[in-house]
Amino acid sequence: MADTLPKTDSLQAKGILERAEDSLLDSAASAGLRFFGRMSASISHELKNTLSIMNESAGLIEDLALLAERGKTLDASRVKSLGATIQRQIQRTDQIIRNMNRFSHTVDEPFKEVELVDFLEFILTVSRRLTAAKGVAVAVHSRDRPIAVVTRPFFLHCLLWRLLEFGMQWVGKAKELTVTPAKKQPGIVIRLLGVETLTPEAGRDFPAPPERTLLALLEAQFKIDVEEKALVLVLPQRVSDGRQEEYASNTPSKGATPCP
Amino acid sequence: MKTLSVLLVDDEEDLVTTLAERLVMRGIEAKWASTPEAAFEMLNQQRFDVGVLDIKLPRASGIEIKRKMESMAPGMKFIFMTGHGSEKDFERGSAEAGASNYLLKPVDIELLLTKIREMA
Repeated sequence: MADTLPKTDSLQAKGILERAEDSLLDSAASAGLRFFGRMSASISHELKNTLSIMNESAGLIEDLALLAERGKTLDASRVKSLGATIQRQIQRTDQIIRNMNRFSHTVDEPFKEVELVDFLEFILTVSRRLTAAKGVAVAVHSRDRPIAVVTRPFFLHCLLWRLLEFGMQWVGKAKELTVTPAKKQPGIVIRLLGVETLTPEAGRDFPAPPERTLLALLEAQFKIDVEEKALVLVLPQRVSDGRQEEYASNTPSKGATPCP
Repeated sequence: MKTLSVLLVDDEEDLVTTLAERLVMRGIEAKWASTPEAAFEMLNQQRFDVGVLDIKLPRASGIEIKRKMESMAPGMKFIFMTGHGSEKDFERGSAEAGASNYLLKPVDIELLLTKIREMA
């Protein structure tokens, strides 16, 4: 078999692969939109909470001032503590907005190099309200840092959230999940631990079509390890950018290795 | 006139303590809890006329808390607060508590006070 395709065949192959990628992207877009909506709603809920605290604190300062006008001694320490509460909430709001901004910009670049440990910590921060609503604490533990990956950040975030959601269904009594990314040449292995109630039936409905689409786009592989009580995601160190180089040059795939 | 008693339940402690303090200033006997467990404990010790509940709390929804409280304290009335304000939440909350007893955050203290007095 020839090592390289003739130029016309190569162009045809490129077109087919581009159409396949477009189709995958279309499928992923609807999952991505739902995910974007979910995260935005959670962030807006957090903002409403900080606004509510500031609203009540300002209202209480006003109440205290009205009472002082009527002759009651103004409790200066209470006013000071309410001022401090408002400042804390302003800082909290600022952080929420920074996170929201960073999250919104994950859609800007279809491919990007990210530092995976930092990215995972960011995902957990953005999702904290949703995981806390289930009473589950999630943390990232990694011996390897930095772990650089070239990936599709938005779709990776989307897939990791879906894995977290799935993992929360199988969390143990401790209600704690741990995300452990590690370099494992030639790719990256991310294990979600703490899924102590996993059974073989867990894999019956997961990964479902949206997750499978995301796995394909990210050239990733997923495995439910019932014995080890872990969800295992294997990512390539660099996802192929079909439009730029990989397909046209006919180089071997840089996709993920099989699940260990 | 009878002093009305209110139990406020929200995981945002800074919110619930301040709201309780403002209600007390307006003649309401207001207590607060930041977890469902603490709220049930307080309900075991005291009777409340009205419960003001956040619709989404860690580990339990306001609706679940309301159901348990109703079984513990028949006749207690409820008002839901939410930061969401989505159509789905509104439908769920209004079906459970009645649309007029469903408030969006940030809550207007005078409106909350009016609703507490109407309900009790």
